[in-house]
Amino acid sequence: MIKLENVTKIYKNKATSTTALRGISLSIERGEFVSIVGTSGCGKTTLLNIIGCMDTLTDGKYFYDDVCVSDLSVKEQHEFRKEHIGFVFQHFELMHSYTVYENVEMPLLARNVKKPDRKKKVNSYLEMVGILDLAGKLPSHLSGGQQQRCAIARALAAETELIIADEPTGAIDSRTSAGIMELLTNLNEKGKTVIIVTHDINIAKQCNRIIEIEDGRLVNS
Amino acid sequence: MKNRIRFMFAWHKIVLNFKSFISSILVMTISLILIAFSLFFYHGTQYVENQYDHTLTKGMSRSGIFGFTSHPYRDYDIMNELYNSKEIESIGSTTLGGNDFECFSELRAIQSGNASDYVNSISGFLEILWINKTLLGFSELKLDTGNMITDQEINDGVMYMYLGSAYKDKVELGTIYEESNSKFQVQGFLERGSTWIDPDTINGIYVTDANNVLELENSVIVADDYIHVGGLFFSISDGTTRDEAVKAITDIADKHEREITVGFLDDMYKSENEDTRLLISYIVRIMAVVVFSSLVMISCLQIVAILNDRRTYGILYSIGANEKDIGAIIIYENIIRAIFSFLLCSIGILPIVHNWYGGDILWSPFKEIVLQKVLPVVFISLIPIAIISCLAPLIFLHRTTPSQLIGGKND
Ligand SMILES: Nc1ncnc2c1ncn2[C@@H]1O[C@H](COP(=O)(O)OP(=O)(O)O)[C@@H](O)[C@H]1O
Ligand SMILES: [Mg+2]
Repeated sequence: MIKLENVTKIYKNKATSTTALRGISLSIERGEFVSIVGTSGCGKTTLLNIIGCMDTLTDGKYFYDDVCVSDLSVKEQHEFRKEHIGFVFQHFELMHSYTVYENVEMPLLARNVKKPDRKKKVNSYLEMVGILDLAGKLPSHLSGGQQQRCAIARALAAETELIIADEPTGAIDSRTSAGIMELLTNLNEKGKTVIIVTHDINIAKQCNRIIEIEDGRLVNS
Repeated sequence: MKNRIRFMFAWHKIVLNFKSFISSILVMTISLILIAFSLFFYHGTQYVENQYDHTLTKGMSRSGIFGFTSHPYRDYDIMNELYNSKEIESIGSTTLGGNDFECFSELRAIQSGNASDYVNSISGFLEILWINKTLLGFSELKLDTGNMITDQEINDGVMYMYLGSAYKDKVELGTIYEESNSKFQVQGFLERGSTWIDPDTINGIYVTDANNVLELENSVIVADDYIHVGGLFFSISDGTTRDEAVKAITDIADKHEREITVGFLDDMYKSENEDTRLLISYIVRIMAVVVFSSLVMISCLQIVAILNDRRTYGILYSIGANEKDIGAIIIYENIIRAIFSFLLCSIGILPIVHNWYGGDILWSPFKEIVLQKVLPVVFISLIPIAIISCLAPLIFLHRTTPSQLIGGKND
């Protein structure tokens, strides 16, 4: 499904340039539940951003099925992201002026889903993550765990086969984390391919596969 | 994303950032008002010029004004000689004055009821525009109903009146007003939109002032035989040059050892207009600077807004929005901003123009100028302004990856 070939990412600023990824090659198959682990600053987020098409790579190739994503135009990249990627962020990145319901509805709006269908879908995803009763609330009135569930429901609403999550448990306590991991495991069992990034080895162990990164290099996969 | 949804996002963003919305539409409104005002100034001047040209059949270049620098005006020897000289076709005069005849109470009520300015300036009087019959003869005043009689002697003691269109359905044609040996008869009603040159113009003052065109809607004109104190209009006979006419006039004055000033309306208008032209050129320059700097300011405000909102845009990308969606949200925001600024400008410009021009009876043609000539152009000029103010944010977004947008802000 995903194939990276010798991917390099260099962040260039005016004065400095940081090499975040140094020739990463790996492949991930459909239905996998993968965790990317490594110390802080080793390049996990960078790698995930490249897989999620949120950032461009400096060198190497990224294939998604038969598509060479790294060769796509900016416009095609937006379409690719819309079609294939559901995102979960460490800090949830919910829109604070919209309710839980509206946040989950957003990917459906971007995909021109009709109103009655939107309603059905939003409710079913909220139910799936267990916060249907909070639909009318603003995210700021929710606990961290509930906000992350909302963010996961939003990623589900994108209706993509791949969900990527950058430190989904990074901003919540360990007891709540267990619930989130259980939810992600469930989704994986229902057929979603899930890639998470974490620096917590105990979280990583709950996945089928661990990819370890050190200083922008793959050390174990 | 559907356009309705894009518009909704734009609208929400405005509501959420209301303060910055207000400050940017204020900046925009100020520059629009400046554009509107310069346009108004230009068209107002143009309007006066046109009216001058149209009030007199001979046009501004063949119509002049002369006055004796030493009194008395009514020196009949000179006047007769001037009347009879072949270079001058006709001589006329006009003045504004009030009359408190009891018999005019009906007309006075109509005039003061329609035009509050009449009440303010000469309460108790019926303000009458006295126009010498000769001048009336070479004017282009047109009647809606009735007959313009200018060649008949006033021998039966009846003076002919011509009333503005406002009187048309309220007063009957042929009505006679009579009081202490004076007799006035309504001979006709003027066409709507008729105008006249303010008699003060004859003295050479206020020539460029837009107030010099009187709107005759509520006016009462009396055709008389007098030469009024205000000064004298003359028109040149066909086949006579301006120089010849001036020479004929000054020769007659010299013969009678009198001093006389002669000028042509277009010259007076032009020389007085030097100031106006200068003013316009300054206004245009100031306007250009203001418009340019407000464009810069709007762009800066936009960039600040985009930087503040970059996380939101990053999230929108992550949920499947594309560049078109986000571009459209920004463009909608600017359209909404432009429409509000335009409304504010439209509401603001009339009172400003009104105050500037002293709110007199000329109000209504100016309203037309604003509505027909100024605001449409302002509206069209909004399009480039709106496009330019979208540019900076659109370029910024195009050059930024979604991860930079989201990652740019840490909680
Ligand atoms: N936008 C950026 N500009 C410059 N350097 C960056 C940027 N993002 C990340 N980096 C650098 O790249 C390296 C990898 O960062 P990151 O992928 O965020 O690591 P991790 O997620 O594993 O903590 C770090 O050294 C970080 O400082
Ligand atoms: Mg990270």
